Amino acid sequence: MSARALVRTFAIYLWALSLLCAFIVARYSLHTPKNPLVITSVWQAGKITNRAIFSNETDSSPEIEAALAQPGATRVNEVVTGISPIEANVEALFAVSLVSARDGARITYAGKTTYVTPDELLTQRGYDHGVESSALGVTFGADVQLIIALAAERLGTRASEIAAHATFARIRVARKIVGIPERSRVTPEGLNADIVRTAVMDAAHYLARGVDENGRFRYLVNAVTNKNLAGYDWPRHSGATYFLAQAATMSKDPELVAATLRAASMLRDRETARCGPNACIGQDDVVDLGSAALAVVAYAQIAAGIDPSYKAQVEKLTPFLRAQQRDDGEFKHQFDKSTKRAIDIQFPYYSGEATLALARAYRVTNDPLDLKAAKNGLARIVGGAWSFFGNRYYFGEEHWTCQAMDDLWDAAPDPHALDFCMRWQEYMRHMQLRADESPHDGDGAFAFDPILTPRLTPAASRCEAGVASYDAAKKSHSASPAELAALDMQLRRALALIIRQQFSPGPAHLFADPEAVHGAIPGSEVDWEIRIDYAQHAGSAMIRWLDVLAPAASQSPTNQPQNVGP
Amino acid sequence: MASPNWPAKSRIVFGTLDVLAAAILAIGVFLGLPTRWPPVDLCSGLLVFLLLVAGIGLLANAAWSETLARIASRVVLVFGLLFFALVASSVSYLYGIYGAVGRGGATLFILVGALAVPYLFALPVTELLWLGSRKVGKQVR
Repeated sequence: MSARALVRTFAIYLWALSLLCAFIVARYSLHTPKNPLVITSVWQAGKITNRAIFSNETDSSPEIEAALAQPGATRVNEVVTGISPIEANVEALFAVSLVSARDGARITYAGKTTYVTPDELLTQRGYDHGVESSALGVTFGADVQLIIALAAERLGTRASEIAAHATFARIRVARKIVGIPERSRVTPEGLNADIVRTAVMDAAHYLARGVDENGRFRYLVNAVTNKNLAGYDWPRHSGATYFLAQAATMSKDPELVAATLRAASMLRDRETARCGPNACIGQDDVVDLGSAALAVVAYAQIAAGIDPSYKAQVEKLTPFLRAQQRDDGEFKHQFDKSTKRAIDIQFPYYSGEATLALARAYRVTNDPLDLKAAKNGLARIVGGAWSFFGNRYYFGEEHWTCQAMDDLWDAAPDPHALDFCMRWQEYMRHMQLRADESPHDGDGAFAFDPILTPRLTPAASRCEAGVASYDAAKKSHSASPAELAALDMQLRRALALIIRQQFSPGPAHLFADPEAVHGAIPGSEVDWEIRIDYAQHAGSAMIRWLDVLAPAASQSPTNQPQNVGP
Repeated sequence: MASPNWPAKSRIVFGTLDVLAAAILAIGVFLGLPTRWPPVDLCSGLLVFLLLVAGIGLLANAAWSETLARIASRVVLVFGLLFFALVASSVSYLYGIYGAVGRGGATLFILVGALAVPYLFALPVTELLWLGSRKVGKQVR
């Protein structure tokens, strides 16, 4: 083939491909509906009791008014602002055709039309569960089968009929809750100590309400139904206890103090066991390092701020942590009680947790063995454990590590660890989404792609480490003002996102018991199965921000008080 | 019988590149991709077969090597252009739905496309240029 023929072929190809791409973008972008369309739903205790389609937001019907007369009923107008077609023949394509929490579906079958709105999909976990990629370990996209089932029920036919013969369109809606004024949006620039303190207390009270008389948390809760879901995890129990202790220390709130002590006593009295010659946490034959490490972090916080008698508990557990450490500073992450031997295996997080635990323990015990072990643990994590070609371009989850680095700064400063943490934060800053980079409420989140709804816990845990890094960098005078300002704004953006998404009260009309979940931090904008560590990471990050950055923030000229809300 | 215009070195270079491209494509698709999907597996299998046989033919200086190398390069190029068209139309579809796809998403798609450029675009184009136009009746040993 001649060069001329090839060039001609490619020119035609590029021209045709450009036309195709332009056509696709034009076809699947949202178009303003020809006629105004308002989907009015009456919600009561998280369920729709009536629905009507109107042309204006103020229109009504006797049925809607009757439903609104019931106690606790809320009228919600979902105003359709855009429509576009959906390719429904391929389920995966259908699934990714709806933007989570923004888009619903219009279904037309046999001359009849019904709508499945974002509010309905939110209450039934209809987003981010459509397609499962076992290779990537993620699920994404809307739940197409749920949409079809809901449509079939309303249109009085079988789901298979809808799947085969209905036509589908994507609808973008703007939700307006009648009678409830829209709250101000929390912005990075407007973030201040009052907003953050309110968010901390809301999150802490949410956790505290869930601590039963034995000290056990409501570990995983479906926010919509307010029902407990199965599962429990002791490192997360310890982490949640730590955050409660932080909030109780900050506020001296008796309810938080009592809940903290109940949760801690469960660890102390029911979960403390023998691991060879030392005390550890966990009743299974094989226990993990993380449970004991985070228990020490919680105990140290309690000993410092609530009940000094917990110093004895810190001293009881630190020998186990030290015994699990290898000569090179790395930790063995499990212990087999039956053989009385440590298992030299490594999992994510535990080395950082153990290092932080020993650093925190040192503040309470002043035991040089704790300091030495923490110092060696930190040096290993940022040195030998992360030494490979390309380590400047790839990082693990280092939120515990960087907190340990800051905790150790006064007693054993490690400039190499600070440099590591500042590089990690810079790396994360490049991954942080701007408002115009995501169709979701994504400003401040950390994500790779537009389809998956940004998770809030990574934003929170990176904030915990980010504030710690900021603190140590400022103390060391090693960072430039520009670098500190960039980190400050990175933290503000992430915290503002978390507070916007916090259920304070959130979309209360979608919850069976809004008071029960008030203050909770969801997994994401659409993941409303609330786990205790979501509040822990967010709350601990906010408290650390209040300690380190809020004093400077209160002097900032950009600081404007704002209401807290979604 | 191979073209008299081909220096022996270039024939060996293109033969080796064809075999290498076949190996990389086979490893990338059949070992690298986590799940099996017949459309991708069958098309990739065809490309691997064509590149491998064309490469062996060129290395062995077989009589049929020019014809097969020409066919293989054209087929690979067609599949390459189809692949880039699918990537571009997927980006367009997601852009229509999600608006700005974000730096991460855009980078991911660019990387996916760039990964295939050497094997599905650069190699067949270069090989077609090297082979030049078919000159019927002028082939002599």
